[in-house]
Amino acid sequence: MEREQFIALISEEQESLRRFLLALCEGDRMEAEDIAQEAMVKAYIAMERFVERAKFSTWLFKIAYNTFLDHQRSGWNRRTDLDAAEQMPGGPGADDAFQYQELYEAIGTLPLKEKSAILLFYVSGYSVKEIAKITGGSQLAVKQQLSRGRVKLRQILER
Amino acid sequence: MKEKTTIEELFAQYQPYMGNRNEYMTQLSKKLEAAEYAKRYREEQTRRYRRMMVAVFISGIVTGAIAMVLVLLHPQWLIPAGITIEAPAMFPLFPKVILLLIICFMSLCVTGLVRKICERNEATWRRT
Repeated sequence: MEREQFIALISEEQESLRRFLLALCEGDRMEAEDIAQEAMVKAYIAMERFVERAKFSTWLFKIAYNTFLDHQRSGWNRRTDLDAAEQMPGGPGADDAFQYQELYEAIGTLPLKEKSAILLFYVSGYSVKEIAKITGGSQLAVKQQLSRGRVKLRQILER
Repeated sequence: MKEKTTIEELFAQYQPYMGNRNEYMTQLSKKLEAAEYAKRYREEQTRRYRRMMVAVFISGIVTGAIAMVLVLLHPQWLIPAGITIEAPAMFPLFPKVILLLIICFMSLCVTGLVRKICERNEATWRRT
């Protein structure tokens, strides 16, 4: 894949990817942007390995999801609330955290796999098959995660 | 059915502000350029390291082989150099072992020299 082609594809997908990561990080814009940039650089470095038959967005989301998992393992999210508050950016993006607080709180109660499946399904609009590819699980497992996630979300929203 | 709509509505309203697209892409392009430069640098470094290792290996083998052939063909050359090794009666292979050790040492010296030269070239390349 050529550089220009990659840039064009990234340009189309970046917003959707960042939106998904922002929700996955429960509104932590700093972490979400960090992961998004890291994932895009990783994808760029590995673009020779991208198989043209595959869907670019699925491939990119898979890289981003794995990068998110790496961040989780490395303890990036173990910052204190005070650290997060100090690093919180100003501007229009800062209001989002409050605007979507209900959503972030609801998502925050879900286990990681259910949260990922729900977000990929509802925020990014992926099918069960595509979610299975991105998260590396089976379609049956994704269906179960979606079902469990929906039940939990309903319970939270009914409160 | 109403509950399902509620979940879908919750996500349908989710449209956070993601900043100016062009600005973001300009910044990202710069990062990608830097990543590409780093990638090319790493690849070039690996290639140079591999070449250096091959050069060191070959020079070691060649020097060792030449030295061994010369010593075996003309053992008398060692006498003027003051290297005379008496074989004790119990160890007839003693002189040959000593010779082999000397050859190994010579090979190591040559490979070390080649490595130094390669490293100096590498440092010059890095500066440029």
